[in-house]
Amino acid sequence: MTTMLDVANASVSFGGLRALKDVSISAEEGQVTALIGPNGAGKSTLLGAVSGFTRLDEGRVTFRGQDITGMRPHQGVGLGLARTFQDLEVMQRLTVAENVLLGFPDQPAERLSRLLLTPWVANRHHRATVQKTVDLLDHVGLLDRADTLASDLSYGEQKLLVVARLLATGADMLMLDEPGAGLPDVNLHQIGSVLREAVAGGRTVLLVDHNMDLIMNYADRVTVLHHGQVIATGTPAQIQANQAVIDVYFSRSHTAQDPVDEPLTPSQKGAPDAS
Amino acid sequence: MSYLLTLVTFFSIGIILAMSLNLLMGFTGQVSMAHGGFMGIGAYTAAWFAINAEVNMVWAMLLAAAAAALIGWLFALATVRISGDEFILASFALQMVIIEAISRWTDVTRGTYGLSGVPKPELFGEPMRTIEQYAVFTVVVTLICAVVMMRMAGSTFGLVLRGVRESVPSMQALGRNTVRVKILVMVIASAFAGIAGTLQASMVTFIHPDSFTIMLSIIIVAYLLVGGLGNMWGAALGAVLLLSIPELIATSDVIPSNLLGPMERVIYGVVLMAFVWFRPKGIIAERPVLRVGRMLRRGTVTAPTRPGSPASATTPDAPGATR
Repeated sequence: MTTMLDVANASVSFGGLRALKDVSISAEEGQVTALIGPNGAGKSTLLGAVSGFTRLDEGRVTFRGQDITGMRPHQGVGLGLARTFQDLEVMQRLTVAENVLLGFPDQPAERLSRLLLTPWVANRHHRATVQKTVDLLDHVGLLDRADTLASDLSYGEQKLLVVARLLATGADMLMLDEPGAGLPDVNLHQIGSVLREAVAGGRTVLLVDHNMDLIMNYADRVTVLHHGQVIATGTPAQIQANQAVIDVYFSRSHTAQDPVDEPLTPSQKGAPDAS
Repeated sequence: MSYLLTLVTFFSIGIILAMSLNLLMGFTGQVSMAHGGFMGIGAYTAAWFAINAEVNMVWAMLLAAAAAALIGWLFALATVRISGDEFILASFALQMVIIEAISRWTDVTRGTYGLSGVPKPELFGEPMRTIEQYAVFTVVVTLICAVVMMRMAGSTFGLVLRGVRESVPSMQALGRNTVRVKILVMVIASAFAGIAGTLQASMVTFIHPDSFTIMLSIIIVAYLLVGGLGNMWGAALGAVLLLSIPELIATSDVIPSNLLGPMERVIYGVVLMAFVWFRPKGIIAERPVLRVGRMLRRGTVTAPTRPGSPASATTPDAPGATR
């Protein structure tokens, strides 16, 4: 088994707040690695650091043996890493199909030289990309919503859309920021099975989530972050039995002082805005 | 007849201005208050080369587009990190700087005296003499510009612009260099404004700093708000409608001629407010670029038939799924 992604001794501070302190994690090829931890534990910061959205103060990110520390956000897909966002960042005023179409990288139909000088080539490629979009929409169960504006989708459907867009990038390393939060069971299992199929197809998944159903059913390895530090790593069963994890995470997850993420219901969350 | 042809010429110039600003404002979401200024840069560049270097206006038009594109590129580099209200203010400032520069760089622009005697283009070695010839030339140039811009708007390129408008982070995460996209669209919009400026300069033969003020920039924005932001047909329609208003007033004899100037702006204002209030998406609203349903019906693409696919077997019945 080879290591796909390796983060070594990562530290990030925002002003006086140390969001990550000397964190090291890795993701093995063909596995689902889950990253869990209470709110503010640094999970999303770590995802940002890996995908180029957040600068590391210290540490190194290695992807397939290549040092990608300090990569720009748009360079990820070209290298083979793609990510989603906790607040989805769906393109609200584009249709479902348009959102997914934009997931496919390097399209001749978006290059002005091809569009204007060899339009027939651009058009042929465009039809092929639309066909791939249709196939992918069918795969995640959104084909009948293809021409709907993304803003008109339910929260659960928007999350499926984000996963479809992620798959469209063709990246080998898929990083999802809370795909399960606030989902009704039916959508949760749709996303879970789509992820499982992606892994069966050779992709590697890094999952940030709180949803224990999702983690326990779909993750191969789990890393627990707390106050910006790794406190445990292991299989889901090991993590569930780990006393340190139980102390900071499970046992206090329903007390008022410790703001562990409660799963939001769609009605609480509503449609995220497109700011 | 010549009155009608004059109108057609001005409509054409307005259409180029509206469509090019639409790429920037309607598609990419960067509201620019400097489009009239870019038109001015084009008009002055073309006029200067035609008057001082006897460059044919056809080629001067390309120089004008290049000059406007260059300023647009520099402005885009400077504003690449800002958007929204801050971008509006920056473009407003640029508009002021352009007019100040034109007014004060008297060696080149003759300042407030303006440049007079701007020639018409020459085709086949012959300068154009009649309004008929020039109107045809303008319409042809406008058609070429419109075809190019509508091709951009109706393709995946247009979708990328809209994607940047909707969510910069997600476009970055999907591998798009959003900084590059924003710079590119600014350069394109400015270049077309420069072409429009050239057509204007040849038409009226006399250009002055007052022809390209913030008032013009606001009116171009109004074309889009009335016609339809993000829709190229809407942009063209908005330009034609708003350019018709002063002509309709002038020919209707309802308003005394000494009140025509001030009344024109009042009517523009009222029309604009009415649209923003009652029809905020404009006459022709933005439409999707991609129509999968239509492509499926026409057989351009085909729906997969994989029975028992786990994901498509379960229909999502989450709250709000049906409308």
